[in-house]
Amino acid sequence: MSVRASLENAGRELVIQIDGRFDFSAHQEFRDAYETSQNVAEYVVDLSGATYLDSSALGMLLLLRDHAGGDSSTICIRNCNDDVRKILSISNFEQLFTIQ
Amino acid sequence: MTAYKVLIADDNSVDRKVLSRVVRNQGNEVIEVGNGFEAVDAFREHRPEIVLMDVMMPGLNGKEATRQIKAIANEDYVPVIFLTSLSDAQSLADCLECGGDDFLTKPYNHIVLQAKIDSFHRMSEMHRLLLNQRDEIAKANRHMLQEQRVAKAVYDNVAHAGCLNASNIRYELSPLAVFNGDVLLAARKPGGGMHVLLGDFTGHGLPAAIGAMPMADIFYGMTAKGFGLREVLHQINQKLKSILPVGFFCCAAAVDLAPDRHSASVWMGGVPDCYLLRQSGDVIETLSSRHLPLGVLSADKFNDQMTDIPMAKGDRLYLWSDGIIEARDAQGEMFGQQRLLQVVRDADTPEAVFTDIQAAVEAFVGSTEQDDDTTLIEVVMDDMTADEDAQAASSTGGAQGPMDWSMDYVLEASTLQHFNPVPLMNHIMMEVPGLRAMGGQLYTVMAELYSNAFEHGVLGLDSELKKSSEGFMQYYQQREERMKTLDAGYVRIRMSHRGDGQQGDLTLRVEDSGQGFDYLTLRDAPDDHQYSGRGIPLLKRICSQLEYQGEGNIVEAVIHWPLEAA
Amino acid sequence: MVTLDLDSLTVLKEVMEEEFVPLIELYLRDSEARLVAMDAAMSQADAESLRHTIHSFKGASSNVCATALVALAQVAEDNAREGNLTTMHDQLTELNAEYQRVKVALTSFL
Repeated sequence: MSVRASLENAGRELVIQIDGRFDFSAHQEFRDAYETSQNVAEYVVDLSGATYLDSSALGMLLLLRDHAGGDSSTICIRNCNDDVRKILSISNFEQLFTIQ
Repeated sequence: MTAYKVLIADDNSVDRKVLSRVVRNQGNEVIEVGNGFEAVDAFREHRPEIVLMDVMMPGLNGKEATRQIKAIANEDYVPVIFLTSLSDAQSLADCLECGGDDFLTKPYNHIVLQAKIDSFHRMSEMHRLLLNQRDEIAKANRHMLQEQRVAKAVYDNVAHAGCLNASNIRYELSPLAVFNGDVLLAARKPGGGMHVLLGDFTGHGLPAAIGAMPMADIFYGMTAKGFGLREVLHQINQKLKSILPVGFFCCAAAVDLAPDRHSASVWMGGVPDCYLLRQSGDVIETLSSRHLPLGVLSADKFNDQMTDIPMAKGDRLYLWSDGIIEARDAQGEMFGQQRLLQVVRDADTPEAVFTDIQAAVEAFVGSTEQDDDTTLIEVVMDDMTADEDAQAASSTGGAQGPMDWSMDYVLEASTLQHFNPVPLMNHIMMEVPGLRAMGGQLYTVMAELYSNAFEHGVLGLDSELKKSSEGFMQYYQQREERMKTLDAGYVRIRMSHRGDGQQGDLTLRVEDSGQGFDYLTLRDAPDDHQYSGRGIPLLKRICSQLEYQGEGNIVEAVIHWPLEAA
Repeated sequence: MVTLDLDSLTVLKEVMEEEFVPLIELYLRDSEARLVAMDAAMSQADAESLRHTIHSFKGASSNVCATALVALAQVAEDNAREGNLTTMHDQLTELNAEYQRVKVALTSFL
C-alpha cells in the first residue's frame, strides 16, 4: 500500500495516488498527503493501482471532502476498477464526488 | 552503581578467589560455593541475579546444576556464565546449547568479566520491565473485557427492546454484535404494521456500538409515537451526523411494512443489494441502495425518499449487511453477492431460504476463525395488528389528565407538503388517561380522517383507484407528484374533550379545502373489505357518532370512552 | 614459551590488591597437593582421577599466568583423557620440573 501526492496545474490541483489496499493502514499517509498542501482548488484521487476499498477508506474520502470545503469542494475519483466502482456505487458516493 | 548478587560456583579455590575479587571490585555482592549441589541450594536461598558456573565439577556438574537453577528461576531471567578452559569454538558453542547464556575462558580477564556482568544486568532489567508491562497490559485487558461485558448488557437492553421476536421475523445477529457495529431494530407501529432497521456502523468495537444507542432510542421512541419512517430516518441521520466524527457513518436498510396497504417502503443507504422473494418462490426482486449512508449528509441535504414496493401476504424480504458478502473461506475468497443470489434461487421452498443462507455461509467459511459479521434478517408480510402496549408507553399525563379542553390546528399548503400532524394529535389525545387503552384505535381514526382530508380533499386523489393493486401504485405515485407541486389548500383539525374521571367524549372535527364528496349516497353502501376507499366502515365501528357536513369536506367524529363492547 | 607472563601477572596483582599474596600462597599449597595426588593416581593407573587433577591444576596455573606450565598440563590432560598412560610418567616429571621453576619465579615476584 502506498500513497503518493503531486501538485499539478500550477499548484491548483492536488493528485493523490493510492496503490494496493486502500484500508485503515493508509490513514496517516492519506491525511498527510492533503493536510500539508495549501491553496489547492481541486483534488483528484487516482485509484488506478488500488485493489480494494473498505469502509474506512470511504471514511477517509469523507474526511478529505470535509477538509476541501464540504459541499463547495471539487473532488474527482478516477480510474476505479470494477470492484472499487461497485463499492462506491453501493454507498452512492457519486452524490458527493465526481467519479470517472 | 547498583550492587548485584553474584553466585560463583567453582571447585578450584584459586579460580574462585580471582573471580570473587574481580566481581567485588565492581561493587557486587558475592556468594561462593565449591560444587553443583551447593550451587543449587545457594541459588534457592539467596536468589542471585547472575551465576558464574564452572562446567566441570565433581558430583553434580555445571550443566545439570544450571538446568535445575533455571527451573527454580522460572519466569525470572537469571543469566548463567559458564567458566571453562576450553578454547575451541565447537566446545564453547556446546556450552551454550545446554542452557548457558555465555562463557568465560581461563585465564580470567577482569575487564571482559565486568563488561559481561554489566551487559547481562542490562538484559535483566529489560526483562523485568517487560514482565511488568506484560502484567499491566494483562490487567488493563481484564478491565476492558469487563467493561465491554457491561456495555454489551446496556446495549442489549437498548437495541433489543423491540419486536425482533415477532412471528413474522427470523434473524441472525452475531452474539458479538457489539464489536462489529451491526444493529437490528424492529418495532410495531401503533396503527398496525412495523418498522424494521438494519444498521452497519463503520469501524469495530465500542466506537461502532456507541452510535447504535441513540439510533435505537430514536427509532423506538418515534415509531411508538406514530411517526413515519421518513421522519425517523431524518432524525437518526441528524443525530448521527452530529455525534459521529467526520468519516464515520452507518450504512442502513430501513423498511416500513404496511399490511393495510399491501406494500413496503424501503430506504437503503450503503448496504449491498437485498432481495424480495414473492410467495410463489419464482420471483426474486432486487432492492438496491440509492442513498448515502446515515450520518453523512446534513439535515437539509438528507434524502428520505423511499422506494415503494407492493408486498402481499407471504412475500418475504431479506436484508443483510456486507458482512455476509465479505465472509471469507480458508483460501481468503469472499462468499460474494452471486453465491448469495444462487442460494436464494436454489432453495426448495421460500421457508427454506433463511436456513439455507445460514447453512451455506457456515459451510463456506468452515472452521476458520472468521470475524463473525453475518447479520441477516427475513421479514414476512402478514397481518401485523396494532399494538396497544406501544401507545401506553408514550403517555406523560397525570392520573386525572386534562378533562375539559379544546384546540384548533390549521395546516397550510407549505406545511402539508412535508409535515404529518397525526403523531402530534395522537400525543395530545394520549394525555387523557381514559383514552390510552384505545391508543391504537384512536391513531387509526385520526390517521384515516387526516388522510381522507389531505389526500382526497386537498390533493384531490380518487379513492376509487385504491381498489386494485396497480391502482394502489398509481395512487401513491400521484400522491408524490401532487404533494411536490402543492401551493394552496389547508386542513383544519379541531379537537375537544369533555368528561370526568370515569368517562368522556372526544370530538374530532377535520375540515379540508377540497371539493368534498357525495356522502349521502355512501351512507347506505355495503362494506368493501379488501381495498378500502375512505375507510368509512372502519370509522363507524370505533366512533359513537360520525357525521359529514358541508360539501363532504368536513367530518366530525365523536369517540366515547370507555368503549362499549362491539 | 615463558614460565610467567609478567605483564598479565602485574595486572592480576593490581586487581587482587591485598589478596594477591594470599592468592599465590593458596596456589602453591593447592598445586603441591595436586602433584602428590597425580602421583598417587598414576600408581593406581586411575586415568580418570589423573585427568581431573591435571585439569584443575591447569586451570589454576592459567590464572597465575604460568603459560608454559599450562601448555604442558594440556598435553598431559589430553593423554589422560585418552587413557594413554605410557608416556605419562615422563610428562609428570616435566610437569613437576616446570612447576618448580614457576614457584621460584612467583616467589621472587611477590
